[in-house]
Amino acid sequence: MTPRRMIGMGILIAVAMVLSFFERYIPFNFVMPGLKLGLANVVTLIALGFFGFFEVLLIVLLRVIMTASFSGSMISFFYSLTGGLMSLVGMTCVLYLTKDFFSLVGVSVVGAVFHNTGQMLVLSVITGSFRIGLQWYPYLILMGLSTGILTGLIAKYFYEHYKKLHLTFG
Amino acid sequence: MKKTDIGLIIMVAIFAFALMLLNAKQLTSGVVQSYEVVIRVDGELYKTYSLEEEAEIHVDTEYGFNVIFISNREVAMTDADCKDQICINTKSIKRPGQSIVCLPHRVSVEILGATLEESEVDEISQ
Repeated sequence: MTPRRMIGMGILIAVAMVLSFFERYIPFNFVMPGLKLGLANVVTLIALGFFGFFEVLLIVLLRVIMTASFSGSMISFFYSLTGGLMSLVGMTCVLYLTKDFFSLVGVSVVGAVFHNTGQMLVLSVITGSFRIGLQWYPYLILMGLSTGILTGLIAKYFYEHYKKLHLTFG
Repeated sequence: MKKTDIGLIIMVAIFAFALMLLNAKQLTSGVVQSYEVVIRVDGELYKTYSLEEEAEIHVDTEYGFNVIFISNREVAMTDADCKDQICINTKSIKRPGQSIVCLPHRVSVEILGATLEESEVDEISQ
């Protein structure tokens, strides 16, 4: 782990935290408390292009823990944690198992759907009923679908511009 | 964006809509039976009532305070000291399958039908 890599990871964590903070101001909270767009997953997606799975795992964990310590309740912490981890797992699987099948947008959508599934599971556990989770699931998925497309496009444009800079994270 | 991406997006959308249809079907089991109002805190059963009752239920836990009203075969959450008040803004429920949830307080109120009592299989026990 070179200092360069550490700095790179730190920057990504910081960006993810900023995205998480600003997300809270987008009013999706009328649907369900703790429900967020999941914009920070764009950082997970980008990080997967530069770092290995365990390093990205570290980025996600640190991002979730720090964001939750600065602002947020136990509930949003659980949502962020499951959402972020499941999104990471889903995206890694798609990236490594189906090499060029999907573009970044597709991978991001998979990440978003996994993220929402995680949210649905958390909701089911807290309310003690899968029925309630399943009732919200379709709306979660539709929201996640649009966010996934958005984050996929962001990641795509990021890579296109990044290539022109000829820099490396490490 | 590749073609496979679009295929994936369409499949996910279809999945979501199919799920919505399934949920809607579950709700319209219109036979009049005696339904149960099940209140859970933190996933665990707190109390059950009959939908036919008239009751004002106070739920006071370490997470917060909620008041649930059962009246006229309708259930509503009328008071809560949570920040977002989403539970209060949720319309009253009257059919099996519907639910009101106060997430910050981990309270859930569900109407279950006599036929849905096989729900023992669905529930997660602590």
